[in-house]
Amino acid sequence: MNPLKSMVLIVAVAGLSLITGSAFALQGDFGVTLDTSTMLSSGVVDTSAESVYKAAAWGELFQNLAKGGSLDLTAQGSYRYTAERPYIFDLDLLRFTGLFSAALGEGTAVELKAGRFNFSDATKLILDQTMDGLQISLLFSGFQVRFAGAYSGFVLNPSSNVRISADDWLEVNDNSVFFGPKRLVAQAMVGSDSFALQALAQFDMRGDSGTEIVNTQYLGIVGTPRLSPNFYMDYNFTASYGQSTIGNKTTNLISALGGFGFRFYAENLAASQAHARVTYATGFTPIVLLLNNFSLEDFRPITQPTIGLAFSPRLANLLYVDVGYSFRPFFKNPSSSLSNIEPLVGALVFFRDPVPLLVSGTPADILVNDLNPSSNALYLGTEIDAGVMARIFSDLGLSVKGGVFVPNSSAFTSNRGIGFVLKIEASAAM
Amino acid sequence: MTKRALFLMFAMAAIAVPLLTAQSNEVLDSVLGEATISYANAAYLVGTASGLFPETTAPTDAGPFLEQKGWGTPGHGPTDPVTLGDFSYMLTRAFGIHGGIMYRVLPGPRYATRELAYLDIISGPAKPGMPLSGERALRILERILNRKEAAR
Repeated sequence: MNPLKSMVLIVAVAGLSLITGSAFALQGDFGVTLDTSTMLSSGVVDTSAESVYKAAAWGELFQNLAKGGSLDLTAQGSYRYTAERPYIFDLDLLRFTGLFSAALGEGTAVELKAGRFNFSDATKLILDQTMDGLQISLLFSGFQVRFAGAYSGFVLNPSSNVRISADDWLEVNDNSVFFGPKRLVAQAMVGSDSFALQALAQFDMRGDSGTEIVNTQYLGIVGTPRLSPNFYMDYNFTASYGQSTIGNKTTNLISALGGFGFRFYAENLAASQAHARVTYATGFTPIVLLLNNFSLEDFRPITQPTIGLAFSPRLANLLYVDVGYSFRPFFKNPSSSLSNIEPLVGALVFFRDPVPLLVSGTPADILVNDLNPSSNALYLGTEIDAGVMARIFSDLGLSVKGGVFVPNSSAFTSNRGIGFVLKIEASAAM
Repeated sequence: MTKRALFLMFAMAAIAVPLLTAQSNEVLDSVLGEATISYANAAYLVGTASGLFPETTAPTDAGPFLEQKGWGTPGHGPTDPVTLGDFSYMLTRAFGIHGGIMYRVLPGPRYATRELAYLDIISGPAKPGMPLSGERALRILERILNRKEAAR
């Protein structure tokens, strides 16, 4: 049976059991959400500053079970408009969730999810994508164990951020390609908020149609331990291994991703939040270990994270520092409209991976269009962001964010000047 | 949570009612024993917590009192079950919670429930048609009283 049929069958059986098992106590809810994201930009080279307008309708069936457990079936379909693609009708969510309390003894629970929903790793830097699959979480006091498996090939191409191989990237703006890249993704995680061990793997299902077949595996640790009532530490380290096959030749790929930083949150200081974090994605194409076909390669996450507003290169051969601060000046105000106004500022400072230059004298290759090939500069530029987020009402949110990227002129060709982006978002729920 | 702990929690939170009377004790015992709270008891909790009437009021009179004020749910008998949406709508009116745009346009249980969930007054699943246990009703009331106290 193909994966789509399996997924539909699982969700249909789950839905039918939900309805037939306890129809008399079934609860339903439904709603509509409207989202707009308007982008104005100037001088931006890498980021597609595209405005998006979306209307979505959702429905939910819910059933309480004994001891706080529940069964839930939620579906959401949407219509999305962009100037590039005026008609995108999509199934955003079709998820059955079963929460079975005390399934493994008192103080435990088992959560089963099946259908189309978001799968992500703990960092969201490697995987963060709606896909079709199954996830089971065993919840114990203080830690959890999670296993998931998903297929990405039935997600519409404009909705897919699965971009690993050269073929995947070629299809980003190809309107003739209906579905996103076909990948099977497996995930396992054990741990808590303070320390977790996670493993992911993706398998390229293009078969003979792909010019490059890339399979990758990831093993890492991640955590956000609380150091004091207001301070948290952020850390993650992931080692990645992979296989790139072009024709009859297979190259083994080795790369890594690491991050370290701190977060501060103080409710009594106008709900101040601050963070400072360094993220480092290694791997450098120019140096190839000739023995045994090993290559220290670009780090290849399963989905590409959005790093900056005005400058968001691929997470490969990159080191960046991210600092930010936000607060709610009217936090104590009884009006929830005023208390939820949140100004924010931030900065991102980008560097090339310094290791290749130090080891071989050749600078790392950043995957952007206009890198100056004769430059050894490590510093790439700085993005400054500022904005205001406001939840005016419980069903209306607004946000205005601006970003300015000031490039290091010697790192890029003369085409790149200062890039500006203004992003205005509004979200309403009915 | 035991009946006693819930009772103490409510007693501490009920700042508008410093001394609980014997009657209110009886009502709380009755509320805690209800798998689905009755309209009379729900109206009694909302009315006493909001200060609309004293705790000596009989629960059977609570519904009509609330309805006179426009906060009740006309058509419900004293023993009729109250849903989470019904209770939420009583609370938003009794405590002057204005709600979002949709609540202002179409005031009712549906958007009252969403508003209280947004404000974290309702935790966990929040569907307007859900049956509401007496214990959960007391927890919701505790949070709304805490919020009222924090806003002072």
